[in-house]
Amino acid sequence: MGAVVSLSNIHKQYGNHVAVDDLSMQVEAGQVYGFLGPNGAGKTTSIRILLGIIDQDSGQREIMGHSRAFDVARRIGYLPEERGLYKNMSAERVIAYLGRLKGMDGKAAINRARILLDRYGLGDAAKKKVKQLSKGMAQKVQVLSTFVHDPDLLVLDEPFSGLDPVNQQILEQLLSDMREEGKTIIFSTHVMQHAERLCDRIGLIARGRDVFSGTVREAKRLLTPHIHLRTAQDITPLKQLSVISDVTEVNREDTMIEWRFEADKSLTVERLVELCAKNGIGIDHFAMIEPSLHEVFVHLVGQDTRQETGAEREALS
Amino acid sequence: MNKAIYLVARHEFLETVRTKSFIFSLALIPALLALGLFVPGWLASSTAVTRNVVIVDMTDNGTYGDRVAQELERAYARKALASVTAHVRAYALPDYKIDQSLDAEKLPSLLLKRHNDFTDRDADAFLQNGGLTWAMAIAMPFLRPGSPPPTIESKSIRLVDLPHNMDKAGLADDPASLLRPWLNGDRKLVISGTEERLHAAVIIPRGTNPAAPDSLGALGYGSMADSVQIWSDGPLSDSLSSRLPSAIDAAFRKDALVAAAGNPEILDHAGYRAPMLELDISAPEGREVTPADMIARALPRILSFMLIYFLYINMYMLMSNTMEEKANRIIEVLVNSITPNQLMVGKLLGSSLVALTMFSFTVVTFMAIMLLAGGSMFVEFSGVILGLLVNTPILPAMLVYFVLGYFLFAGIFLTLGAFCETAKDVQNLSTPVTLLMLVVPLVVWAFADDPSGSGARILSWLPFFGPFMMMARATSDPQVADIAGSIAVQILTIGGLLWASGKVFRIAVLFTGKAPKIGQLIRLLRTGG
Repeated sequence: MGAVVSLSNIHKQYGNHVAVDDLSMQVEAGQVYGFLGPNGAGKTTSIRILLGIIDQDSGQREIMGHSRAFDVARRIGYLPEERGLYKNMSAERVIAYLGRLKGMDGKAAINRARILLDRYGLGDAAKKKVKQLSKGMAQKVQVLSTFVHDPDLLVLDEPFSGLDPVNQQILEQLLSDMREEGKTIIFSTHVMQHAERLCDRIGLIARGRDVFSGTVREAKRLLTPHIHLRTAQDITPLKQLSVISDVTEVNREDTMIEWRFEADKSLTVERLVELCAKNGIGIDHFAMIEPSLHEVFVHLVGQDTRQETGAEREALS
Repeated sequence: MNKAIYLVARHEFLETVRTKSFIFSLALIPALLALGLFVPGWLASSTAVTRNVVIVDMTDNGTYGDRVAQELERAYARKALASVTAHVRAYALPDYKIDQSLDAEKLPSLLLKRHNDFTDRDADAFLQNGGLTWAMAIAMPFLRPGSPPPTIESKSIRLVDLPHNMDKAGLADDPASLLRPWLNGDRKLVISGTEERLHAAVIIPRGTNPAAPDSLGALGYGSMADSVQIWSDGPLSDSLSSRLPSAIDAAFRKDALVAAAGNPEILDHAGYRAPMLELDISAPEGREVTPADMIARALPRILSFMLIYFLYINMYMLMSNTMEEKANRIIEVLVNSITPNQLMVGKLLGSSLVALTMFSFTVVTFMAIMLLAGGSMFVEFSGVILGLLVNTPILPAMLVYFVLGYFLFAGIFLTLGAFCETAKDVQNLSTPVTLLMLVVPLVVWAFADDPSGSGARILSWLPFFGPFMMMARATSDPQVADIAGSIAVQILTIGGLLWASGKVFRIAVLFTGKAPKIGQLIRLLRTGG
């Protein structure tokens, strides 16, 4: 399948602040692509450039074979980071209106709005004004309005932010449904669990720069897995090995202690078991746990996660 | 029309006219119009406070006090008579009217008079023969059956006696001490069993005489001993200051006149006037200028004023609506579906339809109120105004200049609104344009008195001023060149402004943070956002 979205060496600067620096990414048709990065990393700016809302200073963008997203606007659904709706319109009318702006016929738009509201548990709220809905319901209405026109590409900027756990789960389900239907989805987030569960590929940026691009599995391989070992014996001989590091006690029950440590990639499970046996360390429980995406994120972004200065917002203002 | 523009315009229109606040505003229009047109007069007549005044005449012959009282009575009589004749002008049977004016050949001269036309004899006849009953008996045969009764203001001055325990002689030596407790309300008069305050005291000292025109007394530099003293607690109220000094003045002037002539008949001659006709050459043989012509001249100016303030209300609404869309970020979704230019033009068209709806409703309501007007002083003019609205180009002119005025300012306000995220931003950014909107009617008003003069003609061709100046000239037969030129200039200006607004709007809708300063705005424009 060909690339639906392609950004090549994109650069965008506001005054002295570089918002996006030589960013490249490619998203294939039917993929769910997680655009990850800390706050202020340049995710929203990149998405706006991708959608043609703002222009890049340099670099190339291509979306569905066009350099201007506006040419294929009817095939794109977009959920901006900061959300709002017409408060005095009913849920179904606001969805239908945004659908009509995407080229839908009036009757088809209102019918589709009703179907979507029914399907995602908002049937009773269809006639209610947006201002009468709870925050979660209003956010769902906004999400539904992004794909009322049945787009091929969904671009969602921080879709999970502000949602409670129940609604986050519903949104995850909704995105899974979209994937099943063969839609291409790009969403940005700084909550790694969503990306871990949903994404085929991820792109991680920090300070506007490309830090990683690949599958979740490839990302996890960047870090060595953790080993959990429960034993009643002293593990000092293991601690002294150069291939083992970061040894920490994570649990103690009577004489049993559970240790967690990192092992060099060269150390296989078989070799470790052998070493334990040789040093008289009995194994009550053994597990090799791969790193979470969150850990990979923290590792890659490092300092940047602690410097959420909102520099991009400042530069914009 | 481009479908996206149509959808935005339709949305803008429907979502505004469906709101409770818009419906409430429409409902408020007739109430406010009625309030503005009729309530001030009604309030003035129904809540008028009667002021208690004592006149102390210390002159040797002691006649000035009575004469001042008589002049006050005459002033009241003139006002009441004027109300009766205004009523006749409004409700006269068609047989007694020619166009909008009374048929002078068929009515007694008393009924043809206006306030300043009534002589002392008219006023005295009114006072001596039963007042309003007498006047209405004269008017009744000429009025349409079922006409409402006229509204007559009650007397605003009641003359009272000197409090019985006050030393009249002492007033000559120390009036302030003696009058102070009465005038500041510490002591009260008892009138018909109720306590009332004394509002003013007129003391005519013994040595007071009519003053020659150039004398110090006439110029207000006389002494306490030879000048009429008007005492009160602070400045005189409006009702006293408009009547008391003029009544005193009239009494003394007439006294001097009679003394000089040696004959009271001289007062009749003092009221003689030059017979005059004010004529207009617009008709083939000329025609007399009527009050309707005066109204026709004044009405467009007033409407020009109203036009700009009406526009201001709509501009503020437009700016606030845009600010709201910007603040709740929906604008970002919109510009992903349609171009900023489509969004701007759609919003402009939709909001202009909203404004036009409100404007048309106001005009129709105003005309309906004119049609139904009754029982007020305003009723005399309602027929004239209605006739003007129907028979002159005022209404089409209003429509054209309203639309031109709307688009002149709307692009600017819409673009400014697109930079705003809070009501404070709206206030700050709109201030310069608001000031322009305040200045325009003042300048137009200054030149409107000479609607065909060079000043008015130049203003007609200037951007922003044109629609309002031309509105003010609507009934003054402006030259075709002025009409065409003014409209062309405004349309060109609108085109230029909308082009510029479109460029700025594109940047503004996606601009976040505080509203930009001018320098920042120029930088943004240069760099394309």
